[in-house]
Amino acid sequence: MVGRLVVLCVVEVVVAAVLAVQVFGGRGTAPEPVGTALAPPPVPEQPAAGRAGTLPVPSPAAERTADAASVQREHVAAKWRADDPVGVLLMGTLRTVGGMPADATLSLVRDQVRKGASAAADGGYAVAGLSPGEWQVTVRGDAFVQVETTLQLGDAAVQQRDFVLEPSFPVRVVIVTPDGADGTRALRMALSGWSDFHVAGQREPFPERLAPTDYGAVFVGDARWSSEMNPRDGAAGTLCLASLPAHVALLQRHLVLQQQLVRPGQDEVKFVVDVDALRALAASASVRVLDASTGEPLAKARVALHTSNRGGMGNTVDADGRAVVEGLSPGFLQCTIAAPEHETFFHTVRVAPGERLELGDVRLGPAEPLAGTVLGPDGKPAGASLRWTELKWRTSPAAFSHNRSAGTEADGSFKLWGTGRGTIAVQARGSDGLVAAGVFDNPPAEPVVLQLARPSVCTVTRPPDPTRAFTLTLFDARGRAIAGHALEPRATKTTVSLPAGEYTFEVHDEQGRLVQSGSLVFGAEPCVLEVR
Amino acid sequence: MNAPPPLVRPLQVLAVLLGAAVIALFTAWLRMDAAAAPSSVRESSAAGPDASVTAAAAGGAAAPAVPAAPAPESADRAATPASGAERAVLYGLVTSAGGDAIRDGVLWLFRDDGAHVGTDSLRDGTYSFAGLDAGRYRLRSRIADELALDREVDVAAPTTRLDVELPARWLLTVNAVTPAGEPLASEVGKTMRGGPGRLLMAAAFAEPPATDLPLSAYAEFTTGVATFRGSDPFRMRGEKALPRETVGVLTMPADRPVTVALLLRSHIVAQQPASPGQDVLTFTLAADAFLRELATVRVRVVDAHGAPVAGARVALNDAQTGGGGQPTGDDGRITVSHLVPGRLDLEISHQELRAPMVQVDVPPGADLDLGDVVLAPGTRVEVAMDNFVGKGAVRFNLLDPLPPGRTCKDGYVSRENGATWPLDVYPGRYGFFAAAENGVAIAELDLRTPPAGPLRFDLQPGASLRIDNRVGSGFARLDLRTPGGVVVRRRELSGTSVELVRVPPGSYVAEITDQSGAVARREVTVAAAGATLVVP
Repeated sequence: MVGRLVVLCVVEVVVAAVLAVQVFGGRGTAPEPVGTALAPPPVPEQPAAGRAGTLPVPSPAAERTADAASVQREHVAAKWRADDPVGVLLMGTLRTVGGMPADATLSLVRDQVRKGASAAADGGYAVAGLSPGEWQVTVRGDAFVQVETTLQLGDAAVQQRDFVLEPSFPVRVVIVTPDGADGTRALRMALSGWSDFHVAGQREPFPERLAPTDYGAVFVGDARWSSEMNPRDGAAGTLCLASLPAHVALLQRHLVLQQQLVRPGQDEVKFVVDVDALRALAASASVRVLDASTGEPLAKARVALHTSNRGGMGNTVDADGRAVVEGLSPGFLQCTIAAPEHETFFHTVRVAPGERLELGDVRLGPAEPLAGTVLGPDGKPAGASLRWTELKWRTSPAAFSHNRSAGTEADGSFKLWGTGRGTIAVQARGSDGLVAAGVFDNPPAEPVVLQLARPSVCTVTRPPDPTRAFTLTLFDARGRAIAGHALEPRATKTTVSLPAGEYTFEVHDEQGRLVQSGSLVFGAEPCVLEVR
Repeated sequence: MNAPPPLVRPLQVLAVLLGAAVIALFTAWLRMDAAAAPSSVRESSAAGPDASVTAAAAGGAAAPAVPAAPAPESADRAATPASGAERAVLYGLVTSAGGDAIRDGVLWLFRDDGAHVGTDSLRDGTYSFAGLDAGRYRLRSRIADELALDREVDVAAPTTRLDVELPARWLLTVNAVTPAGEPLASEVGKTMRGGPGRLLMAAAFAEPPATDLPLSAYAEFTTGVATFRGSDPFRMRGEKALPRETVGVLTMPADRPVTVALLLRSHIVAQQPASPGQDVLTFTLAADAFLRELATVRVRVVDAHGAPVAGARVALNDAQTGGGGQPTGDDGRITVSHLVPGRLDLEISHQELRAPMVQVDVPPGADLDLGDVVLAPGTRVEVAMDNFVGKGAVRFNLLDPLPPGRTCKDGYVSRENGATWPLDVYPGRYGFFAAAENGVAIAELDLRTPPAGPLRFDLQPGASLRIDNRVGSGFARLDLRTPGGVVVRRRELSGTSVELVRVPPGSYVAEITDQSGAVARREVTVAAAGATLVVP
């Protein structure tokens, strides 16, 4: 009897030990290597210790899930399959440090693939169609400090990553004139062609001047600006700062008009703007528009200068073909000169504060739309959108125009409007991201054909210095500009896509000075340009 | 009876305790395995044909084939949310009948009660919806040149994968040319500025329509058994450009012949039969005959004293178009010609004076003289939406009686455009319907004189009115108002859908116009617990 009981107890101890290892063993095992099924580790739900730590760190709760899962994963984990378009499903939560669902969006970028998702009501998100590798992740929401990080996805078919968002520090921004009137409305009344004030914030003081842009605002700093569409009584909007203390700047495009230090506990910042002083910064441009054939002034020609995010008919020339455009906002402006039945002048010009810019004589020839055909990789007519730049107008380094486009007809044919005689760089982009690029003489000696192909990508990096702006120009084998890109300070790493091949390049700075040149082989691995 | 040896009792107790421990551990082990096995295996396991059958059966709808989904159970287990109650993710792939991933389209997910849960864009064929409660949902789509998806799906936590292969469809290209073989739109464009554009469209009907369709207030008019993709002049990308003679492409099931109508908005210009397998259908129409289908509207704009108002801009636009117009002459008169028939907004803009907000029924080929339209100095009022939570808006409409052939047009201000919004409206009695995430409100106000302060709405939780659209391949216009005439909802309906509208509990009047133009009025009582309105 005693012997049987002893045997029974021993057996029970052994069985219990085996079961205990099965049930509890996973929690005590060494951590699973990152990338097996949950890569990288999940993030915390508890408040971060310090506000500086904006990037997620592992949370005990999430790790438990990972560890519990890892016990099973070793023998049953589903792997990503390259032939399954659903690829990797990334799921998780976007939550506040207090554990509440965050009204935020998540975007993932890798090469030229962009994916994204918005948080559901419970903070959950899911993104399908991903693949293993490193993704650039941005999580943003109105009331939160933006999270930018990289995410290394492993080869599991379903992976989880939770993000914890730290609240930002909202400050009400008031912009008034010295007599207490609404500053934004006063600016709109006095300088109608100008963009509204932009407000930026960051930990460090702002430089006196930022790199100029052709856009209506310079996006700088790490704060999030939400402007009032209908400002009144000076209430211009809300700036959500990433940290305090912070410097807050009032901007008019690249001009830093004023800046203030905002301290912890402060919930409002007030700028007093002198609109008359701003008016003194307004520039003007004058030009004479002539018919290239006769040399006579071109009646009915219109001259417009505006930022790339605006449009307008512009001013009509006088009897001498002359037009003066006043009240221009300093910075890069797109200059368009058009006349009936004539080609259109299009170039980006730089305008300094208060400058009286003389553009001289612009001679417009007859309109001769460049016509051609877009073919797919199979040689059949294909659909595409087209953008173009007339190289004869590009007398200084400037990004190629993205404001004009044309589409193909059903038979793949196209006509570029506003073009005249001369050399024209044309870029086509079709469905599935296929691209084509070419430089053509107009009128062409032979049919213009652009054949779409898979794009080859080159990664371009630039210094983060917000006072520097660069323009990258790529040239074809005959030394003709085939692509031009602005390298803005906010994108220190960007990609440029072109059909595979070798291109020479030049990089110019914001003063138009050549700072770098060389050649790039698109299609080579890796294709990288580091602008210094 | 012998006494047991001294060690027996302690050993027995130990054996019992160890046995209990073993049972407890065994139970825990079993639960652990059970937790690891996802409830979504039914649809997300690599079960092949079974997964397809189960998904279709669960849907209870005419479900397209669901290919084997390759996400096995372990992946679901690994993805168990780290926090809170377990929520589900629905995800998968949408492909055409040929198996190609859909690269341009929209998916919507609705709860079983009709509430909209989420929207996702198809860019590479994949989709995902997160934060779902386990349960039954309805997945719908809008994908160019594909049949609309409308099926039920049972979603289980933590992940449910549903791959959908869209059914085979019949694509019919509809052309319109003149007897000389020229594209009709281009020929018409020589007389009518800009041509008919997207207002020239086609629809397919199971039976030939016996009468013309009711006048529509929209540019994108939808009816019939097919979906329509027209040539969009604003589409700058050329991937799906259509030839100039092509009006558009109809997408429909290939199970029966149809009658295809060439439409000017909702007006039937011509019709022809078409049979499955047919690729192209061409309408031949003289440009002159087509132009006779267009309408002309004459109006004289006067002030409150009857004096002509010169320089007022007059436009007749549909609900999806704005701006434009032509100035009145010194006699206050203007003639607007080449109008595509429809229920059109009469928009009269003047620097100082305001016009009543009305819609005008403009029949095909009509020459309408609207007589005098009286402008008056506007009443300024500020709409305050600072107490609105989330996306909110205020709709408003004129309540004063209108001449025959005219109905009130509703205005709209959105919270997204600012916490306050200034209105400058024609003096009269107005109805307001305010709706935000934190409540709804209805108000009637006399704005013949300016109110003392901003209009601020006392939002109440409201009740849910479920609008169950079962119009199918026909057409219906729904105009839902309070007995006092405040517009709550206006829709032109086709197909099937469910919409939830929150309204203050009370009585409403639903005016439903069917495909033949017959109008039915129904009283709808919305209790605190809600109500359902089935259309038609």
